[in-house]
Amino acid sequence: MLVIVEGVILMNYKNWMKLLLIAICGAIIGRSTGFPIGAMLGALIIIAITQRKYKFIPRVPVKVRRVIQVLIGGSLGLTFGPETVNVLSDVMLIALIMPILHIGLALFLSFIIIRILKIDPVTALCSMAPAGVAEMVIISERFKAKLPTVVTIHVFRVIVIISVIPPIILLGL
Amino acid sequence: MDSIQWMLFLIIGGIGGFIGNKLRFPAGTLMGAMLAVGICKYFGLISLISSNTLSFLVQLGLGLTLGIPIASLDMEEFKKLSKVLIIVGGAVFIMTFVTGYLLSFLTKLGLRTVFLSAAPGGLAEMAIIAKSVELNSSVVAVLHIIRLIIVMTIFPLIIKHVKVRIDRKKNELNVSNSGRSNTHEL
Repeated sequence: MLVIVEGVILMNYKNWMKLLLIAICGAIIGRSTGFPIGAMLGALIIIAITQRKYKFIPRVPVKVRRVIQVLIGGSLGLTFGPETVNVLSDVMLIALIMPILHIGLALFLSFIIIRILKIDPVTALCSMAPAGVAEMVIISERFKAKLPTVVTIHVFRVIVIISVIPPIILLGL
Repeated sequence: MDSIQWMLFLIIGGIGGFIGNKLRFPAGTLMGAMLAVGICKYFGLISLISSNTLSFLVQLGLGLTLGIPIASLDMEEFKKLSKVLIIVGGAVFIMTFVTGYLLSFLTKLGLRTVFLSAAPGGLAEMAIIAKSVELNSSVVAVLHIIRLIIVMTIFPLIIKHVKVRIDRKKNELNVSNSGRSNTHEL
């Protein structure tokens, strides 16, 4: 049986089941460690290892990704309450200052890698932007930046953010 | 009762996600679903409480979507960019902890919440971490969304400006080179 999404035959139904089972096993193992995002890291690590070794998993289809995003967004929405509205007025100032600081730092780093490492300016800017991988891929394509470089740098940034920052924040503070 | 609430949650989240995606906001599906469910929760239309099952499903989904791109990283490119990646790693720390620490003086939010909000990326991941340790995840998510909107509004303009300047310089160089070769021919 084949799964057909947006007119493209994406992957065998069996591979989907395998993928899901592997991810669930990883998530259960991760969760048993007691780490707050253990299930996510467990699923991520086991899928990354399996994919590197056996290469049977194609990209997650856009529609499946959207369902996952709805679940994530919905679960965050469930935490909304009257206190959220009260806190939001308190954080408006930092909500505006933070991105400006990030943009300033990203421009400074782009300048450094353009000058020292001789990376072309458009690729450097696309790589250093503190935004989502998916959005930057679209922008890189539009401005003809070197896509493999942009993707590698952004994926690396995400790896650092999810693997190094949480333990420091949760265990160190 | 619970299954009705689950259905309501999925339908409202789905509609919100669809609208957010159609409006082409950065992280539109996630933002739309969050706002739709959040507003309904605020006005009492949804009484579902976040459970361990939902948290597990969300983390499973995140692990799934993040694991595959990480696994398909080109190792050659990775080695080639090692120096840049060291700089990127350092930048992530500075953006998270230095800007986070400075900004913590401007808000009553706890240091951990500010740090999670200041991480340059990972909207879903940081918000889920905040939720799993019972910090204010909705604030973390909203701060990340505002960051994404501002960055995605300003950054393409900067890139466009740089690209136009580079193209103009290239054209000027080509014109002067062709001018020089014409003089030589004469």
